[in-house]
Amino acid sequence: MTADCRREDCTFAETGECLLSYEPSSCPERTTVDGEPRVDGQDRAHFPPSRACTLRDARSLMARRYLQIVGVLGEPNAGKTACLVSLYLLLARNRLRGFGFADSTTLRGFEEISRGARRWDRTHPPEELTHHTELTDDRSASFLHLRLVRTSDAGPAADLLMSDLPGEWTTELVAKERVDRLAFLKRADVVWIVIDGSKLRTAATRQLSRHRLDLLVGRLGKLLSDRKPPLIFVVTRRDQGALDDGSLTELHTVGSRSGFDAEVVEVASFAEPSADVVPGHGIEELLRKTTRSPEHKGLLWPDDIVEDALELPRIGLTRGAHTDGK
Amino acid sequence: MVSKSLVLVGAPDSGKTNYLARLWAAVKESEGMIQAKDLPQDISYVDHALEYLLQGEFARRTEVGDEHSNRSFSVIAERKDSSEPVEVVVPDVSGELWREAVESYELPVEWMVRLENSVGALLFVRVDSDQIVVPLDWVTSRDLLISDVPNDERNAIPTDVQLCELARFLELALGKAHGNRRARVAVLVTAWDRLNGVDAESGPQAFLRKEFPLFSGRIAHSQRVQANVFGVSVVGGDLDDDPDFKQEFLTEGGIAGSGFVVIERDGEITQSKDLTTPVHWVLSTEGC
Repeated sequence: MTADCRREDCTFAETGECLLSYEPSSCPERTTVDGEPRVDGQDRAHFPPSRACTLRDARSLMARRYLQIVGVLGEPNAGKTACLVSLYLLLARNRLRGFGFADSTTLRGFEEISRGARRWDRTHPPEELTHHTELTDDRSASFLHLRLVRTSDAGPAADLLMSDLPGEWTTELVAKERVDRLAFLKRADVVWIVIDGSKLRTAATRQLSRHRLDLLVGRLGKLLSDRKPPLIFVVTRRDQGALDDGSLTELHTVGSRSGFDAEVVEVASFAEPSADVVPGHGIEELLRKTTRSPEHKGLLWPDDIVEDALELPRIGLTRGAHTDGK
Repeated sequence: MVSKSLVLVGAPDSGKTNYLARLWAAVKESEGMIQAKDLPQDISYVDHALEYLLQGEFARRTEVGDEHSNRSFSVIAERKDSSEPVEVVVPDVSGELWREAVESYELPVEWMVRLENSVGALLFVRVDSDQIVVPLDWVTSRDLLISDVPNDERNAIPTDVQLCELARFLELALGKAHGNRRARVAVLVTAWDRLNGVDAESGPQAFLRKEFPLFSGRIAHSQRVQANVFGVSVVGGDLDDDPDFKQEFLTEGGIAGSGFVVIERDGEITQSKDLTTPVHWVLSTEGC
């Protein structure tokens, strides 16, 4: 059983023991239990909030149904949040072709990031994934959920849990190989590496950008040495120009050097009216590549995968290498 | 005798009070599938709201509610398709209660109990309401993302998101006291007469997909509640902004037989004069 507790220092979800020694159903600090409403001591009933999803919420959700985890990495200002916002705005404006909105347990979380209401405190970015539901006004490292139905074919619904992390975590992964708080990536079904496309296109910053990307992918390859999920390079700011063929080839090379089967998608989360692409360009393709079913080759989920990265139950699935065309 | 309670859900100015008044008139005059078996004991609130309609005005809930303590409509009714009388209880509720619930995720426990004990709900959204909050566009969102200036308007929740939150609340609580029965939610798009011909002809589901795509998808794929969408016009025209219609309503038409419900079933769109249709659908187990 999971429960949402107002007390940040309570570890009930991890230990099963209430900090105040209450029985789970009677603790006055509980706001909801198992995602269901509960009544507090002041005769107010509480619905579970639909803000961004904490690690505990993610665990609770995944205990009930299979979700596709999308790990989103990228240096600060690469455009990670903008991608998520653009995806949300496409859905809110009914402009996402091929997919329709079915549900989100973090709908208010999407609304908040689209309004810039929660942004990283650059001087003090969060240090770890948030365990507690009581989120502060500052941005907390967490997950956003979307359930989409396919409108262009009869494929299964896409139930996505996308990480929303500060860029500093990527920076520290590169600089110091800090991997402890990124263990959830071992459970990821797809990893997005979001790259500022303008830096790849600009002569003054191209080489440095490629260098750091190479380091990042190398770190990621080592972290995910047991199992490499599909990797998508999400190149942002397509409204300012497209990548040349040489840069595209280099990205594939960077990915394959570390054992990844990588794809590249150029996106324009936002766009000036004068741009040759519209806002949201590339998001549909990104989503299609993210939710594409892997080829089933009769291989069982590897036995030695570190399932406890999210303390999840083992899920029996058949998985194969992702070899579909780029 | 079975007692069945419905709950009215919707933001301020979504049409709940006027529908309740029109429903009372329809039930009293046996105009539709649900008709009153006996005159209810306390009709003060709902009849006061009806008085506004009878005088050619839409009721404003703040005007109706201030004078009456009992804000619910309770009637022993008969369904034309059933021999079993049923007590239909429909408490009127202020839109502010639901707006606060969306903003705070909190509800007075008495209303949570009502949700759990209700067999279904009527969820309202009104065409052309000035309370509707549109979603962000890309330009505004980009500006907000890069701006460091605090802005209170950042907190305005789009109506589409509000409706999704209300649907989520209903999924979590509606009908829980009745076990695993999948509760029914009738979505009423009120002031349907204000739509242009093209939008009106497309039907209520198309209206929701166009105006509130998140909510439309949410209710279409809900696994906990069964939803149906109706277009509703309580008197068939606009008493506020159409003086010709108002004049005709007062001098020639009258409330009897006025108004209509747009029903969509299996892709076919039809119109009915029976204003009790959404309530009948919620109470019954068969299709509309």
